[in-house]
Amino acid sequence: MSISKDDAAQALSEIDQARGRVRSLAAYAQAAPYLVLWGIAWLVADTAIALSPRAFWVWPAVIAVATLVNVGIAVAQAREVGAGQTRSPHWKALATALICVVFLASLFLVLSPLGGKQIHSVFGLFFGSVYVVMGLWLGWRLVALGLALAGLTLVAYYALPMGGGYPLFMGVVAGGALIVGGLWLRKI
Amino acid sequence: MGPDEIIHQSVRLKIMATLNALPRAEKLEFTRLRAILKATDGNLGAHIATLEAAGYLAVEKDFVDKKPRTRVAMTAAGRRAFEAHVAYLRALIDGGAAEA
Repeated sequence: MSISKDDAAQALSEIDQARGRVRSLAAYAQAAPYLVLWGIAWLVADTAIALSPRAFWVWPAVIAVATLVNVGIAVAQAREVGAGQTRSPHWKALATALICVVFLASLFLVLSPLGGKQIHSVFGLFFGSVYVVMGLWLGWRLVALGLALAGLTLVAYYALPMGGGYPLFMGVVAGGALIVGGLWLRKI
Repeated sequence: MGPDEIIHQSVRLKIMATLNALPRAEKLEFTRLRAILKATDGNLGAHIATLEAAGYLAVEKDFVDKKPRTRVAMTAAGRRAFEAHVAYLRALIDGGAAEA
């Protein structure tokens, strides 16, 4: 059997590509349920606000329920991976979530007072950007999802007045984009 | 130490590289592997059979919701052989191994 240096380099390159593909697939499988969960949360909360503009209590309630489900998914995933495996330790995921919460809370504090539309837009733009950055490291599908989310947020901010139309758009389109995106990531 | 002729074939190399990148002992469904490698059923099946015959892969067939499911995993012998082959390729590039 004849293997030249070029053949060897080509084979090692194929091995690296396979490793990258598997890493992307693992990241997609891990991210998908969270996207679907928060897409549903967004859809439910904003649709409720669109139908009843005084129902601002819906968002904190939905966030509380979704956070509990989020923790349940994280625990289930950690059990599935099992002890001694090579994926990121659980504490890193929790620390990342905590940093996001502290950052957004600080941002709202510094920029206050903000209107409901601006607060909505900050969430859409922040998480859209997070997905894009994650996607640069983990796989292009997350980049596409992040760009779609941030783009839809900007379209809604500039094109829709803050009335029933804006929360309904954000709930159905932005929340729907997360749900569809999560299902899309699973379908590989 | 020489090249592993069974592993070095292009499709088999990709199969082994993909399975080697999974956490130890994790199984991968045939349909998922086919999608990752963009291979046809027949081609992939033939190469998996070759790797299984060499003792590098374990193939498990069962039914889920009355549908047949085939899963493949790398054996310990397969992992050792793959790592040895990669070491050979690296040594060849670095000039530590003679071109075969």
